[in-house]
Amino acid sequence: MRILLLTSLMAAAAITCAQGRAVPVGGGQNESPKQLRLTDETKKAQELLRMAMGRVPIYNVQAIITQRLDYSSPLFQQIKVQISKEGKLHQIILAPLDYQGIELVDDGQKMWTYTPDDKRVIVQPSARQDEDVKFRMKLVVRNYTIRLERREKVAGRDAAIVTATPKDDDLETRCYAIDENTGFLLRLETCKEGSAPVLHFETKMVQFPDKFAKGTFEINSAFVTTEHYDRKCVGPESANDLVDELGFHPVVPNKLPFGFAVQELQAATDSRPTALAVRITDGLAKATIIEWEGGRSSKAPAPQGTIVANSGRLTLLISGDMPDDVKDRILRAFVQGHHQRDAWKLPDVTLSWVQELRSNAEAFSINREPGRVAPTAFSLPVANQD
Amino acid sequence: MNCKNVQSQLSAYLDEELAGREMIEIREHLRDCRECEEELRCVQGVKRLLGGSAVPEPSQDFEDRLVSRVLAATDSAAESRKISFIALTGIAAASMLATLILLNSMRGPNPQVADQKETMPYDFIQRDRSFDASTDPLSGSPVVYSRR
Repeated sequence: MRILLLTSLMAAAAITCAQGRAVPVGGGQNESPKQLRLTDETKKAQELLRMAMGRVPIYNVQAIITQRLDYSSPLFQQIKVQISKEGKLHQIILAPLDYQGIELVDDGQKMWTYTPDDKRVIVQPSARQDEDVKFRMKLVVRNYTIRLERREKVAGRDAAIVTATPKDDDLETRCYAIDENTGFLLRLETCKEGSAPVLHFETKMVQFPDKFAKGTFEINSAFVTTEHYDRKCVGPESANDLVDELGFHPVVPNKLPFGFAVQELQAATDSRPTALAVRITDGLAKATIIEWEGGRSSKAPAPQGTIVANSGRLTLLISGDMPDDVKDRILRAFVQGHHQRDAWKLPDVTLSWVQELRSNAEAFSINREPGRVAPTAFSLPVANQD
Repeated sequence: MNCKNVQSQLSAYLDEELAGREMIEIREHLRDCRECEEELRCVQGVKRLLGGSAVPEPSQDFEDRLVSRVLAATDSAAESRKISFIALTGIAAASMLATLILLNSMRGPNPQVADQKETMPYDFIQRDRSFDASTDPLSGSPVVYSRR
């Protein structure tokens, strides 16, 4: 009888292992040894996700990736990406033909974008000065359940399949294939219940070279037009500080749907008309809302993959890696925020949730000193048309 | 996948610009749909014609003949320019006046569409997309580059 019982227990354990079930984040206190092991798997999943989200890799990375032109586009672009372990970045588009040769270099201070058709180089402040993983991971834990589903070979590498199931049913489940040894993202698929998974990102080839050729992280700007642009970055609670420079009251709603939070405001005062980019994220999905003062009706075509709405004199445009219905609901929250004009007058109270997330300054920003306008480390001299 | 979807993506399908899953879906649809298969052949034919059209080679004395003809044309044009200079000045002044009147009339009371296009910060939107593209290029978020 005892042997029979023992055998049944062993069989049950073996079946559970074979199914590869994992418990979600934040398991209970009284866990059995088996649950403890599974919780470790979940921690491993979180750690892999954290590594995949980091901007500076542990190793030099050289990869060829394919990803959709925008979130809903049927077309893919193929890009060669090189990132050094110091955080320098070089990207060049290989396909499709009408984007081919567009090149981007970011050395951590400045970013150069070369467009061969225009023979033009645009110089902007670096977008990679901050590491926002801690901030985003706090949102991930709040908005998703992370599981380590299984292991498989992807692009010849040992990959862990990590799924992020949203707590809000309207969002999609994200399925990440992450290189177990390096934390490199090999594939991203999304799926909604009852429908087939949709591929968004896939690594075709990845190498980890000891060093890069000289000049990899440089763009030769001889014989091309160079244009310099600046932008000012502040935390959401400092939206009022931008009013004079923008010429309008920026809309920063105190509550966003789906657990999204405002990450940062970036003002382009040298653009005509002046405009504001509001970066929001739920930890994994990201979106940008661009605000400017314009006409009432928007008959001009919106750029591909974006949705535009008007609210009084203000025009708002959203782009991001999420389905259109989700974008639409977020945009409506901004329009509502514009109607409830007190939203921007009570930042200290209404943005307390965002401030709580940002309570650890390290979690949000390294260089941008949250709450202060235009830190010097993020400014470039403006000299258009060199 | 229906015929409309398939036919709109045939060119991308032939150039292998689609994702693996979509390639498979289109291939399976083409296997069962004669109409789409015929459309595929048409697109293939057009691509072949465009790709295979020969670039004509100029003859050896082409450059000499071109230069001498351009010089001859320039000389005769200079002659006729002298004669018709006054007439041309008159025509130019008249067309400038007509253009000004036309532009003035277009600036009428309801230029909403034109204004809207001018007020949308396209350049910033494109720059911002490049900026965002370099933030996390390996995070799986789509990277959209600026293109005029």
